[in-house]
Amino acid sequence: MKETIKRVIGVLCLLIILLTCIYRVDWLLARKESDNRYASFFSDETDIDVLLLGASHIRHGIFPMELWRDYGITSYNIAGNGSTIPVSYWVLVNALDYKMPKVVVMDVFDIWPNRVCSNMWGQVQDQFDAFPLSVNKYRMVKDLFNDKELTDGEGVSIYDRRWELLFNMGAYHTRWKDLLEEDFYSKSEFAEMSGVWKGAAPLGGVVERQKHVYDPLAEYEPDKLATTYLLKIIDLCKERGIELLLLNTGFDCGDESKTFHDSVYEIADEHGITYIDLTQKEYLFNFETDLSDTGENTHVNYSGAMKFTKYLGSELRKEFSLEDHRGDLAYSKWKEDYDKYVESKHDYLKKQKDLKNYLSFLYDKDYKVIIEVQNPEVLSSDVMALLDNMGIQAKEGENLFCADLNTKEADSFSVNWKESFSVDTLVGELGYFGNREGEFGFYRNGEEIFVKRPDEDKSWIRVITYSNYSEDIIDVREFDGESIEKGDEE
Amino acid sequence: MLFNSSRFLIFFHIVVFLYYLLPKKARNLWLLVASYYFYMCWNAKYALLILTSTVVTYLSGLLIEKADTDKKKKVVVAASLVINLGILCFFKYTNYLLSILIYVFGKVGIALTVPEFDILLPVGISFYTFQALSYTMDVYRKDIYAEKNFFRYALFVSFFPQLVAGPIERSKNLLKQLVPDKHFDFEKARDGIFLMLWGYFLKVVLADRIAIFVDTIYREYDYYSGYYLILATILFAVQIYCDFAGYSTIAMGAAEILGIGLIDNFEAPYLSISVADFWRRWHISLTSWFKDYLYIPLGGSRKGKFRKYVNKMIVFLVSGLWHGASTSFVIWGGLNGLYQVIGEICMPARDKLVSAIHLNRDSFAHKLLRGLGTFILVDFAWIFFRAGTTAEAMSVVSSIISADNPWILFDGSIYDCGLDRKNYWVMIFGIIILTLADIAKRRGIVVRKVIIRQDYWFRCLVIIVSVMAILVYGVWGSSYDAANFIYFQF
Repeated sequence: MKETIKRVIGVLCLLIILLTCIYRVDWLLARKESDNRYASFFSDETDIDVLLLGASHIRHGIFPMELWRDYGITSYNIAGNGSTIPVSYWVLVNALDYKMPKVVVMDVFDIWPNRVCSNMWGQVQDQFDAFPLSVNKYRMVKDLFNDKELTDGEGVSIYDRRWELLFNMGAYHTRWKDLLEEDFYSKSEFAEMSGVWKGAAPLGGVVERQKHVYDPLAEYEPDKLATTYLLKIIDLCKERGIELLLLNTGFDCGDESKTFHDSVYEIADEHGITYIDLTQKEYLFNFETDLSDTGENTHVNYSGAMKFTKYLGSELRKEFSLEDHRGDLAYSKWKEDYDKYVESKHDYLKKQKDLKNYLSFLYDKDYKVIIEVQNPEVLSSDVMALLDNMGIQAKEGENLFCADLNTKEADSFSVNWKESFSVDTLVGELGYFGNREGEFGFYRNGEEIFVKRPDEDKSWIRVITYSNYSEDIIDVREFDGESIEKGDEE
Repeated sequence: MLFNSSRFLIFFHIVVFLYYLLPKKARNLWLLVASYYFYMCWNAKYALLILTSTVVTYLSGLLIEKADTDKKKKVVVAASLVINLGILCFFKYTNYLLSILIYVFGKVGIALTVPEFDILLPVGISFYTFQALSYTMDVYRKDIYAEKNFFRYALFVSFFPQLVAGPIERSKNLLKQLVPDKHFDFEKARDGIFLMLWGYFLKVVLADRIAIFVDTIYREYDYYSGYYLILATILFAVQIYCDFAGYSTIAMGAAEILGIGLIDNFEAPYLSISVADFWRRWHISLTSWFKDYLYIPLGGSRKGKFRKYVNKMIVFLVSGLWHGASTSFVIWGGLNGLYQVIGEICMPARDKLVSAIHLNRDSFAHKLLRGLGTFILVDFAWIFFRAGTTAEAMSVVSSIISADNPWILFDGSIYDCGLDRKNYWVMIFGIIILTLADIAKRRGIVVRKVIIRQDYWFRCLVIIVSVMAILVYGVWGSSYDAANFIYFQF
């Protein structure tokens, strides 16, 4: 008997150690993209006002921290790239296990008509990996992936891979040879990192819109699968007492998707839900400057996202009685996260190598900018459009611009860079003076900033960015002819 | 249901748990139900074939014992052989025999048009047919008494750990162990777990990893020439060993946990110093089956040297055919028979040569040389086993003979054949572990017994490291195609 007890204890100890090792190695090998986005959703115990659901248009289009800054609304962007409405339904079911938002903002963009999920399996993994193992996660797998014929874009059966969403070692154990520094971070470190953007992510790139011409003769039935799950979302929100706001971000989508988007008017009407079809509000965006080059130019870039977020914030404030938590001590973590968010935005700005991307990332209330144009060739129509987007109306011959992105006020000057001069601008008095060594210095409000003038050959344009809050210089960037045309985000 | 699938692991845990939980009288019945379920997971209809084979051989046993004359007994044995081999031939050889007929008739100018039968080869039919037939013959030879309990006998034929890929058990060993009086034996269960871990290591870490390389080369054997094929052929020898020995070891381990001992099918075969020695250590259960039920009845070595050589050739040609309905398998078998016949014929000349040049037969160098020679001969025959057709095998042989690209072994080209550098070195490390384990086995050291004698913490460490190595370095999950066991096709 004594021997048996000894053995049972021995086996139990072994099992505990073994399971701990498996758990640790499972985490080590896992791809962390999902945790990088959503880990803080599960670790932060404070509830949120708004939960943002949908696909990449939402993930890259709405920044929760901007809602916090402007309205004091707490929100989380739990949208995932390629997420269909059925996937969003299960994201909501699972998310409600952890948070009880007052409002759910749901994008009805029918990204994969009549498909239960994206044909890129990695997108499904990125959406669900961070969700802890639970009964609802199991129900999601059982419900969404029961079609044995369903394959991903490479023809691999999704049915066969579905359990990887619950036990992801099957998918990621081959990563032992590709481990990076971040793989050794703990879950809490990811929670900290993901708390900065709260699920959202800005997109670079500035491209023109590829307007889709809809076929007036095309006849499609509204996507039944999407309709079914949209109704489930409506029912779930009603059941839990959550307000629902429907959006449609499906600019220039396919004809089949559009049929579904149009059908949502009736559904929304029937259930008394506000439905904002953004495709009918084109005035919100500048289609020359606000689109990124991903997804056939249908995603908003940084400046587009700022406008989208601002608009959504005003609608949320108008439609729902959401409290402003900015002064509330219970939300001090949000203040901390916001400071980190501002730093992160600065980092994003500094990483941009291409002038157009850089100007897109300057579209931010946080900034004041001084733009010195050494070579007028830089002022192409694209760049002029981006300056215009920032409130700078550049005229011929003008080569010094100052703008406050918060007030959208701007000054323009025509100066001779070879001579000393001084001008009063809305960002203060700027002076360019020769010093004792015969070099030029740059002064703002009497304070020397640089000892050298930019090199005319290497610097066609120089952008000096100040923080609107601290008045500190955030970045000084010079672009030559090459970096104006080339170079992507690092 | 593959051994290397999560489904099997769940199935096996349930089987073991209920096996020891059920009353002793119900245990065999439970194992029988589990075994049929296990088989029916491939093709439910084909369970009828096992049932037929079981009923025929069960009745043959009873009838043989009841028969009062030798003639009647022989009739029963013949009937059992005809029915069982008839089923085997129909399902395995119909299309092959028809293709031979068409070829022969075509040679004499008669064009036969015979439709190809769409016959799905029942998994493991060669294994359970041979196992069932051995029972009929053992009863006929009075080596055992006929089994009266049908369910017990049915379990003998269908015992799931060794049902689809052996080892081909003898009634003398397995049937007598199927007595429902077993208590849970901790030592046996622990032994079984170590065996299963080793089996999984061989299969998922080694065999399936090597398969990626070998399949890449052999799939495009006319593109990958010379040294690619030499390397792939050498590695195929290791692959098939790890694959088959892996299955057999998992089967042994699973049976051991259920308190049943199966025969060890492999005894470090690649450390053999002659082809005859190799066949005493490779697929031992099949070799001994052929020896007992074909070679000896044919006269063995009792009827002179010439008959002995003929008998050997018959046994190996039939063995080739047993492995697959294809001329290349027959050539493979024939080559292995021929090696032995030529080896025996040349024995006097070899002996003279050895004494003439004063070779020390007991020296390590001599054994190493013989071992290498044996490996080269066996591996050469494997080409016909691996290649899809004889023509393909001949192309491979031709390419190997004219190999002129040794640099591919050094310039990194081999890392572009499905296995990258890191995976390649995991494979090499695994082969070194296998070699050390085989050397230990040849010296009579049972590694798992050595481990079991160590302290608790060390045993735990070995189990944890083994499990983690299998999980991390194993070829499983969606990143890889589910890899079948090579011997299932037989």
